Amino acid sequence: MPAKVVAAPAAPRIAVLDWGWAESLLALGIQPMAVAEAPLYSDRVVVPALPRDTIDLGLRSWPNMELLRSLKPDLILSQAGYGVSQARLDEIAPTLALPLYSAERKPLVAAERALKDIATRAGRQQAAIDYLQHSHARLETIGAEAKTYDGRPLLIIKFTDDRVIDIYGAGGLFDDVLKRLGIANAWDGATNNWGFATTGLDAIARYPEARLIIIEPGPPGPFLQSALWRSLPAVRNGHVSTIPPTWVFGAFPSAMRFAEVIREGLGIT
Amino acid sequence: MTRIFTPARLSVLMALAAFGLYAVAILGYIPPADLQASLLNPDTASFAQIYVHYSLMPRMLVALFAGAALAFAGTIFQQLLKNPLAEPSTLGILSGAQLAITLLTLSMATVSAFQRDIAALAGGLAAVAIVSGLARKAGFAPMTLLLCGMVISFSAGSASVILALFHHEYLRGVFVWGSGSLIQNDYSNALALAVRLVILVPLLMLFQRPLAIAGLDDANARSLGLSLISMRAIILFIATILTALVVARVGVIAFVGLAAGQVARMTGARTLKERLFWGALIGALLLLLADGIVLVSAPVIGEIPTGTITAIAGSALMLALLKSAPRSIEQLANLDGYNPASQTSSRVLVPACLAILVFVVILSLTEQIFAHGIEPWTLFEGRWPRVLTAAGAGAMLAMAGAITQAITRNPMASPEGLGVSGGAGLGIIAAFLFGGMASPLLPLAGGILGAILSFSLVLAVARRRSYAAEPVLLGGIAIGALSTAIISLIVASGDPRASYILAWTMGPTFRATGIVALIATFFALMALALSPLFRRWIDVLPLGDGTARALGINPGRSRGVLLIFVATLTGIATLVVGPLSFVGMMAPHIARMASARGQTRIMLTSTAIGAALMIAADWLGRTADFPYEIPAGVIAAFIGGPYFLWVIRSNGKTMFRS
Repeated sequence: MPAKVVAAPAAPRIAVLDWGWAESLLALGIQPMAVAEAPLYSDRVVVPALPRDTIDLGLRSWPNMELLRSLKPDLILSQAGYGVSQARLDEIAPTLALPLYSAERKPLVAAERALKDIATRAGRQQAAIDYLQHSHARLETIGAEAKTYDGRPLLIIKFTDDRVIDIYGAGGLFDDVLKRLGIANAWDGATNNWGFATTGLDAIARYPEARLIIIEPGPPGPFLQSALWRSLPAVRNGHVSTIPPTWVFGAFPSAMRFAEVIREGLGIT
Repeated sequence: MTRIFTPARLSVLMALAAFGLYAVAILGYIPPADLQASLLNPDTASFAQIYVHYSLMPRMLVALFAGAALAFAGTIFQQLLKNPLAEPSTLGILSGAQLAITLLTLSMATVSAFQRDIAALAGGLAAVAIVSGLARKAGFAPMTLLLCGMVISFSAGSASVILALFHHEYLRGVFVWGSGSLIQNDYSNALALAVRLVILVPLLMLFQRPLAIAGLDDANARSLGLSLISMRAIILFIATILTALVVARVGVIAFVGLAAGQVARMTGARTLKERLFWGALIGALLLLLADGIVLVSAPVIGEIPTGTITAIAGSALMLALLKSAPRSIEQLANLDGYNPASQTSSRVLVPACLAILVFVVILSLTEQIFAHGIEPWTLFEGRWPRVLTAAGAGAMLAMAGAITQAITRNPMASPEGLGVSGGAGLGIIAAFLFGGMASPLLPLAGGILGAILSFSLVLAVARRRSYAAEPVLLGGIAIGALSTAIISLIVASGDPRASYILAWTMGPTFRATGIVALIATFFALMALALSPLFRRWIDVLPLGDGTARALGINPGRSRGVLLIFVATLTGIATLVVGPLSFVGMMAPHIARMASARGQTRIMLTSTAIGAALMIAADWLGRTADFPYEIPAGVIAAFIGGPYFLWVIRSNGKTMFRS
């Protein structure tokens, strides 16, 4: 089929099974042909925005293999160790299975490496160099500005309901960003493979000096008026900030977004 | 005979242990000197005092109130239905409420406590209405009641799991609730529970006398001039309201009602009044004890939801109880007098089934409704493993079902209820948690190991009862409840692998590789080849143990061998299509309806029907929500659950002796 051979080099047809790689592609100025759970991406990751005509591949953990095959992609991007194995994807199209949350426990480093790998495969090395250069410069700036911040360590929490919270710590993307910015993360407790710990509210009280960063949406109902919440040392002293939702398990663009919202949340200028 | 443990002495012991654990937890936050202030008038500047006052104290009250309510309602269910194993979880109330709350959460942005109450009421009442409505046809035969409850629980549970599969990130809050965490932020839940208890318990006590009489047999009660049906319905209604309103606030806490009722009876509570009082007290203390263990161990191993602890302890207790269950449990509604009236020639039957099978296979292998432009050969390459896998699993389940139904003489018996399936599911989950997602062989190995372990457990229990199939089915209920609890725990943990693990436990045919397909087919063919060896047993055992002995068959041993055969088939099939398919119940039943005569023919016909059902389910799961794939086992369960209930409904009167 000669027609297809002509069309191929212009825009690589890339199918993406992981949202972190989808946002990385978009950051490189490449539009993925198909993304797993594309409608939900627009809900959860939000920016960089995914074009509406992106094909939905089914679940991230378990995409529709026949649809994937029928799309005849030039490249499949998946997260190593998550969902379908690389061997089965390779049967359909060349697959780049990149690690993000691995035993190395440095997702920011992994995300940067992956962005470069993706750019190399897609023939967009220059875009990656430009993007990373700009991003690192931006992180430098925010880091320098952060010197004006009072240096109070942060406790980054997300409410599951009004009783159970996730706290982000070592091994997570947010923790890596804080390190890069030179802001201390208060949470020194154990975390799981994705760098967070699930716990009750009493854990917050163990860090009386910390500033609370609540990732929206906050707890349901009138909980923030309750005696229990108001007695938390951080709340009593007014050390609480709220930041807009950021994709927790994302890659480099999510890290950049987190750096920006933290900057605003802490009132760093 | 004097007892060492009277209900009063046991209660004192349990109270000492539970309050002791709570004291340890509280003193982990505040020094003893601050205790009085913390309880009565906490210092708002001290988080520790506020935490003890606004979190731990209400938590203690919630545990006591919820335990008492669940045990009180449980004792009433047990008395009313004359079934020592009746309680909120075995009647399907907990699963019904959970499904309703899950649906509510998906349809609304924020859910208030009141809306949650209403949803739990609707779900719980619907479950009880279905279960009791169906069981009434069988004169509330204990086994039928529990089977109906099990099917409702399984169906509602699989609906919840499928919702979680696609929305696990949105539903985390629901599953935190569903896992039965007793963490409190204020006194609102404690207060709500207290009000409910104060209104509903005295209301139920009004019925104490008729309830005591209802415990007599129906003829006696009728001669006393009671309108039994309406009285039962009213009591059932109020007790369900009490349960659902408690569940809405504390989440899914299974087996407290069962355990408390059992303990009260064992320690010598005889009359209904005694059992209600001591049952409620022991239930309250049991839940407090479980929660105390959770609290004290939380700093070391992290906070485990209290509902998970009661599910684990409860399933163990249920298995232990089976060893000594009263005979009444085994008064199984059976196939006596159940023979298909029309016994037309079945010469066309087997060819007809095979023709349907061939049609389904061709359809599934060739259709291109959604994925276009794939070469037919590529399509075939991608699809044959899943079609063959589904066929093999369906055939094995159907064979297992035909044998189970023949030897138990129960048309409702189903190998999915054996507990082997639940055990395989638990093994798969364990393999993920400890081994990660590295290799697809790991969950397979975990599943096999889990199936073997749970099977050995059930078998050890069953051996005591000379391999009667009924206690074995109850073992299945226990293990099923345990795996539901563990699934809730995983979704609640926020693990990004949750959907992957959920999909695996449901048996994804779409993951089947050529090897898996060939293995499944190999075992199905082996089983077909072996089945003639069992023909005599399968023909004779349904005639009763006496007849079997007269014909020189050892009924216990032959049932044991058949059980091992059935469990092996079920275990392998579960790894492929998941624990909840009901194909093993449906296929033999359809075969009998299609007038298959003689156990051997029923078995062969159902094998073909089972394979066809599962291939069709796999195809439906592939196309219904394209590009999202619904596991074949779930589709089959959605068809199988209602089918099961319909069968009970339409055949109840002729099939069951009341």
